Amino acid sequence: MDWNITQNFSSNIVFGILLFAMITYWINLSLFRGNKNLIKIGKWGAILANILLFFILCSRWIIAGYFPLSNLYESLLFLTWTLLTIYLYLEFKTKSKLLGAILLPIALLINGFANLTLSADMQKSSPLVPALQSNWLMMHVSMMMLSYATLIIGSLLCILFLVLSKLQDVDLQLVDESTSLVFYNNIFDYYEAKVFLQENKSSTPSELPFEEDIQEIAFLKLLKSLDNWSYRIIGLGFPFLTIGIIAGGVWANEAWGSYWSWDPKETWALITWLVFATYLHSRLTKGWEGKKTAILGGLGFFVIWVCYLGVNFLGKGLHSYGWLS
Amino acid sequence: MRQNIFKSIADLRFAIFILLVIAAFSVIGTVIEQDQSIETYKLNYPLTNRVFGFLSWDIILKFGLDHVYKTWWFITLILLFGISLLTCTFLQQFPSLKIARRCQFFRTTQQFCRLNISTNLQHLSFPQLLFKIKENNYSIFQQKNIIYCYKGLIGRIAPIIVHFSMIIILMGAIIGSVSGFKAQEIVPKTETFHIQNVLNNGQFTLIPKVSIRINDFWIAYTKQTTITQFYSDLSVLNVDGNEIHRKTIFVNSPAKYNGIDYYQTDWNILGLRVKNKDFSVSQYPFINLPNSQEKIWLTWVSNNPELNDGLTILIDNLQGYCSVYNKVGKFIGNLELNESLNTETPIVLMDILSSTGLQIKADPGILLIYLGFLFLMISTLISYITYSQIWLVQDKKKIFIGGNTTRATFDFELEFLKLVK
Repeated sequence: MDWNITQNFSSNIVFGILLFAMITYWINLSLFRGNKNLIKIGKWGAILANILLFFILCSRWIIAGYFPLSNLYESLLFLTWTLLTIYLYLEFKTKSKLLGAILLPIALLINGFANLTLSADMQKSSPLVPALQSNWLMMHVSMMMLSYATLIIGSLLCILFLVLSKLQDVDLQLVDESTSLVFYNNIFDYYEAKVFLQENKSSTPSELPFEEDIQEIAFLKLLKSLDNWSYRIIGLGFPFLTIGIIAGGVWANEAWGSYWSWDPKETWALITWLVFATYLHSRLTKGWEGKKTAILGGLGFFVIWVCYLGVNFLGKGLHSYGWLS
Repeated sequence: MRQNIFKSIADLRFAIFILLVIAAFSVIGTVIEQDQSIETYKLNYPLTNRVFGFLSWDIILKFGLDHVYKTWWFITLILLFGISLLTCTFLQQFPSLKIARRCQFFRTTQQFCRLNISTNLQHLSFPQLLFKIKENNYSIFQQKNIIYCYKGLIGRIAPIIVHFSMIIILMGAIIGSVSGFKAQEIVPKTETFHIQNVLNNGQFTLIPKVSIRINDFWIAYTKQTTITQFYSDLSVLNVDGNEIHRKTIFVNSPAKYNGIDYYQTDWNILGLRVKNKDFSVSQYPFINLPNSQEKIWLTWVSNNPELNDGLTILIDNLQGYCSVYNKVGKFIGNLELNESLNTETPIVLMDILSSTGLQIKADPGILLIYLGFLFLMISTLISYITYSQIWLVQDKKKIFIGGNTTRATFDFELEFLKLVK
């Protein structure tokens, strides 16, 4: 069996599955609200894609004999895998369908970019160059990718918050005052269903004002949970990013004797770190909850992509993998 | 007045502002190529036809945009950031920690209204509730009918350690830059060298007088002739020229001796030694082809005194052969070590002379920096832990219960619900 062909084939299948899963999620959210089976198909699609990606990475590891994160293609596959894993975990915890609907397109885009635009030469695994032959490779790159994945999800939730609130200032304090009303239902998907599946509710006219009230609160509650979830996820991604950058610094010091050399990739990782540091600090500032912090988080989304892919267009510096011209 | 200045530096919004400003200025250094010659900037950023409509080389040089990270204003920003860290720690974090460590009992039931989550119960007894809270790993303090519980205090201490470790890292960087040095040496195989080509050093740097001998330099190749590793075997010598330390270094495995680190970073081919027909030995220097991405060297071996006829020899590896071309550029064959080629003037390849490129560094601040790294890694992770508090007051038959948390609002809500269920 030719492993190269098998891997390529599975990678293309992953692309197909992700596309399919994304469509089911979108159809479910826009047309057949409340249809549980359709969402299950999408979810199982994502799980299957996840397993396939894991298989590809493992087989590359075994064949090449080193941790499969040595070039851009492998890092893209690893990023997709991490994104899918985190999203599946989050979906398991929150029962939210929104997450899949916004994350699957991102995973699809990354996978598509890896499979369709990178040349076959860039997809091939080649022997490690001397500088990469270190145990720090595993620590540094896997931590960086893990942090990228977590931060991408967290900042996506920030963007979703901005979109749902239509960039308006939302007074999240209102929710707290009215918590007693829906106190026993602080489950994410409950509010989501309330907001997105309004039509399915058959309410008698007499109950209408009350229903509307709940609707309003459910919407605010949804925003608040988005706000908190993005905070928690970014709060987890930030230490990963810190560890990843530090591992890179220690490695650089072992490899060529300087832990920081202001190389473009390094600088952009620092910028990412700074942006998310401001995000985390802005959470502590009174009255900044909601819109202002979400804007910082949303900014982080773009900064990550510049750091991860944008810098590669410069084609210089120490991180000379996957230069795109 | 002074208090006010410090207060405003310690302010969060100031910290956020300074972080964003540092981030924004850092971008400049990645857009404009750093540490190039003036000619490069004159070529890429001409006065007429400015980049982005305003950027030209005179502006770049005036504001030091060719070395952003070493300019006085960038370093000032970093120092300001350090001061902000310190003042924040002393004026904000310590006081709030002091408050957090104190037992804050709620004595009246009105205080519960201010909490995000609070309720009152009748179906649970006090001991039952306390048992449940204890099961959730809370520390409990009781005064008759009022109770205060907290957990995750470490989540409040960790951010302070984050700030301290960053200050340690900054201090390590300052120490390293004023008393460390970095040098590069290209040393031919078998020769001895002293540290001479110093790239940068601080005000208090003492360049040590050491002599190092390069015993050997070689490259390991894979079957596909790609490079696996570069090796240099080096010896540290004492004043009498005797070896006191020896190590074979390669990329990712430097030699460390007496506070100085030796890194394998570069290599070069200097020349080749050939035996002529009459058994005389000649040595020819290689020149590196300019403007080529790959490492490739070239020399000319003439076979007559007029120097108008001979062979061109190219080499791009250390596998023990070089490629020979004739006067018109036609490939004749690969000449291997101790072999000769069938040409009119047979020569035998005796040796390929190579040199190794070393980076030599001393950084007295590295210990502090690694210490800071270690603490920073641990403390940022611990900072994720949420700090939760629960208050209880028994008033006649009713139990008032309320709580709050710093980070995980929704996890806490769930935990709270399970408590009061």
